[in-house]
Amino acid sequence: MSEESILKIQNLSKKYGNLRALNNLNLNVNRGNVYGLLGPNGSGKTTTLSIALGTLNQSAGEYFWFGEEPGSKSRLRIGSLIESPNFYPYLTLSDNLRIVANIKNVPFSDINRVLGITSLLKRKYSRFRHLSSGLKQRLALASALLGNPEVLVLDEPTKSLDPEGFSDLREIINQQHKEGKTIILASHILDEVEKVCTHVGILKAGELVREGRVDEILKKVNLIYVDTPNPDGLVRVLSSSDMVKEYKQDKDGFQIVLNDDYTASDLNKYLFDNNIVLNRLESKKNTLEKEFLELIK
Amino acid sequence: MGKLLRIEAIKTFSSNTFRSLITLHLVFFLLVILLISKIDISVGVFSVDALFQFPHVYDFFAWVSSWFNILLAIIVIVLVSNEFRFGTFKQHIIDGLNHEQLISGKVQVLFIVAIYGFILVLVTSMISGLIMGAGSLENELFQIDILFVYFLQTLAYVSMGLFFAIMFRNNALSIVSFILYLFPGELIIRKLLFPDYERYLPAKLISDLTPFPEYVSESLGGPNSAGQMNFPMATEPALSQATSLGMAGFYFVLFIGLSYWVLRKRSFS
Repeated sequence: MSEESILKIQNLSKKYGNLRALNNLNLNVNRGNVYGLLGPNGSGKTTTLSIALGTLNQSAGEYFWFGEEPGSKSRLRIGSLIESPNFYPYLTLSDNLRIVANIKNVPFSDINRVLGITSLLKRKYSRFRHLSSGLKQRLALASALLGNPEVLVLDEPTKSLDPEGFSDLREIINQQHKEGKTIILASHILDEVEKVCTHVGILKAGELVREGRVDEILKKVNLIYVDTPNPDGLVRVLSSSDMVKEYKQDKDGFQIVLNDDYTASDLNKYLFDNNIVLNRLESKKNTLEKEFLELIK
Repeated sequence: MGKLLRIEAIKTFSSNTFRSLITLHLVFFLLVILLISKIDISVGVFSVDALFQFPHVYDFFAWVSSWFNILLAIIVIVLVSNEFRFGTFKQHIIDGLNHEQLISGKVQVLFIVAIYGFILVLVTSMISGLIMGAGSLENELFQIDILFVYFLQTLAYVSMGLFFAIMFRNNALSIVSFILYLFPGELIIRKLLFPDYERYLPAKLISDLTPFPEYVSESLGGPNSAGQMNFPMATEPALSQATSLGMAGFYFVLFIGLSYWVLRKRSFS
């Protein structure tokens, strides 16, 4: 069964004068994905999301929401938090959310639900301008959740959040994912993305340099750290082995990358059979951060 | 339609800036009317008191109030520029409104502001006319045609304000540009580029809709007297009233259309 495409971007380009912010970007987010859009500053994450949400005009290319031409109707099905929270500073949280509820045709009774989820219920009648930046970000999240949308688009949602806010946000994303919602998350916090995302797309200078499932990307590197009193012997054995893709020595020992079919215990057995005694053997899972830093070099 | 009105009502009526500026408009208008009423001048058949009596009171109050339309336009500029300042126009698009709805919401605000102006002039004129009581009340109480002209004039002014706010997206820049256009700007354009069509240009045409009261010029000895005071003359219209009203309506639609076009064309930063 083919997966339903929620957001499909085709050959999207955006130019600011001579600067190319996006260059023929193609990406696809399917229903139920928690899609992390990663990239260094200026890589085009916010530009991509701003175009997809209708606030920025593209120079070329097209995109589709729910398999259809984009428009205000499709945006009504999406809850979004883009860059900074945009609200009327002189209005209360409740009034600000009443405006959003009116736009989204959502009953006002839903306001209490989203304020509850984001722990803002006690501040319902505070004015927006009196909130700290972390609470403003929570309000933006509450606004995005209003009406229980099918899709959440969150651009740097952890900005200004304290550790509790981080944790709450992770819980909200996980809960939404469990409910079958599609989430598009642009973030710099790679550890967070790794914990919550099912898929990632990595942008560099406006181009998609890697896209796929998080677990597949992380599986790609099979990294082992070892230390031995006999480094010369280890080098000799590693050089003649077909299970080793590459290795390098540093001050802490050896860093070995195994071919996909082999595990740390295969290496351990192989070295033991070849009379190499180890002081340490540590299997290290690849991190998104490592992969990301490698890609954007 | 109802949805947009509800949204605009929440954000407009809760705004301290809006409430302060509307109060300022009300106070200025009443203060000017009060000050003029205290002037005791009678020249021949002319007396200031007659300006506060039916039927002249409508012409006079509409003319006085027309000067304060600039303040109403500034209120609109502030309300619209604030949408850019707070990022809320952008957020409304993200949340699911389209550009037409953004403009439609603001057009409803323009009507609310114009209706406020209309009611203010109507009520104050009626109170003044009834207090100062003269003339045949039943015939003159509802001779309020000029107030409908004033209503259209207000709409045209505030739509021009909307256009400037959407063009410049900044309170100070929009207000300064708007005032500069109204006063030296259009005058220079008229004299240099369109000397033969000056009465068709927007600021001139819109301001001429509510001319200096006919009663003053007639009682002071003909149109020239008031003309020397550099006020547009009701007795010597360059354009017929129908043409003026049609053109003002056209400018109203044009400013709304241009505002939509500019909003649609440009991205939100």
